[in-house]
Amino acid sequence: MALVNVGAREIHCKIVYYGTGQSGKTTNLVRLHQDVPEPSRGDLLSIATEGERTLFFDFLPLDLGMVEGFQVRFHLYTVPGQPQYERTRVTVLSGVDGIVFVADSQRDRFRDNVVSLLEMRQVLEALGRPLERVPLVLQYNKRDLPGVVPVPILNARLNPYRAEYYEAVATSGRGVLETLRAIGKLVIAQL
Amino acid sequence: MERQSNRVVVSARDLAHISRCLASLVQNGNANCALLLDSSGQVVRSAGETEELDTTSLGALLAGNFGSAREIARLLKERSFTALFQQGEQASVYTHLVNDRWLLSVVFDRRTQVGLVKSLTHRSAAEIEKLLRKAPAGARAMEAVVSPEWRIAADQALTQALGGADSSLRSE
Repeated sequence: MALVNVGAREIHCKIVYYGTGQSGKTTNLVRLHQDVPEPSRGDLLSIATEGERTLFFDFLPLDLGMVEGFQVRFHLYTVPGQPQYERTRVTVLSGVDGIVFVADSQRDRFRDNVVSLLEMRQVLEALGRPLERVPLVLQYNKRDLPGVVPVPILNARLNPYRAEYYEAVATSGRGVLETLRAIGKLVIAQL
Repeated sequence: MERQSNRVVVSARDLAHISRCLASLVQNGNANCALLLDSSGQVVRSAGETEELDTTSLGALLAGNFGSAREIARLLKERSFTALFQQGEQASVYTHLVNDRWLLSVVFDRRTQVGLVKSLTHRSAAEIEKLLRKAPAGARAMEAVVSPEWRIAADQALTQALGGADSSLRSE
């Protein structure tokens, strides 16, 4: 839920990167931290990681600067993707203004993506925020790997609301900035 | 303050009231600083010694902490935990839930007593709670801020912040 602090002349919005385990959510934030020019990005905070897996969340503040007298900040979060952290994902999704669903394009992860999307929808319903009312962008990640699922099939199963989608290779940065720009635009439109 | 379907508006008058409340809490409790957060972790206002503190990250972590506590309460069939206390050797943090929607956090050290901080935090939380229950004051101010022109300017600021990234790379 966006916070419009008229007194302090600040606007804060929360964007969550959601998706199945190791789909590339943290990699998106790491690339953004590398690629976004310094005045705009804050410190990347990764909490309680075990190996390459997120146990709680990653956090990256992004400062858009002054817009007609108001400081605008995006707060970017990832969720832990592993199934056992469902309640942690509920916590991170609370108050969300926009979601990037990061799907793993590999064939053997296809079902995991479907399950993760279904869970996300259920969590949002429980939070009183039906998915169709939350700004959403899909990112089909790992497009550089061999034998990935074709985009039309991913769209058919993961994108019933015809949300904007981007092909990406988060490790190289391909599609990462574009995805954020797209969700940022939707969040601004819904303020 | 006003809650709308997808946003919370804090008016200048509300913020001034909150600022006074936090400053009084810090001063009377001999605390290092106090922060009012929304449950997403966004800092509404802080008071005290915050210059050396990354309040943005602190807000995210405190909110995450409280979110976890909420889930623990659920597992224990407890309605909610209304307060959390984190005790360190030098610094400690006491966080109190306000209206199920806001968090009042106080950072303090050995210069003061835990009991005093808790007591004053409860009192301040009650005062802020009253303020939050009052009639909304920010709607008109909000409409004046987020105009169609503002949205266009914000879009441009976003593109600029991302180094001019162009969304024309979208896959179709």
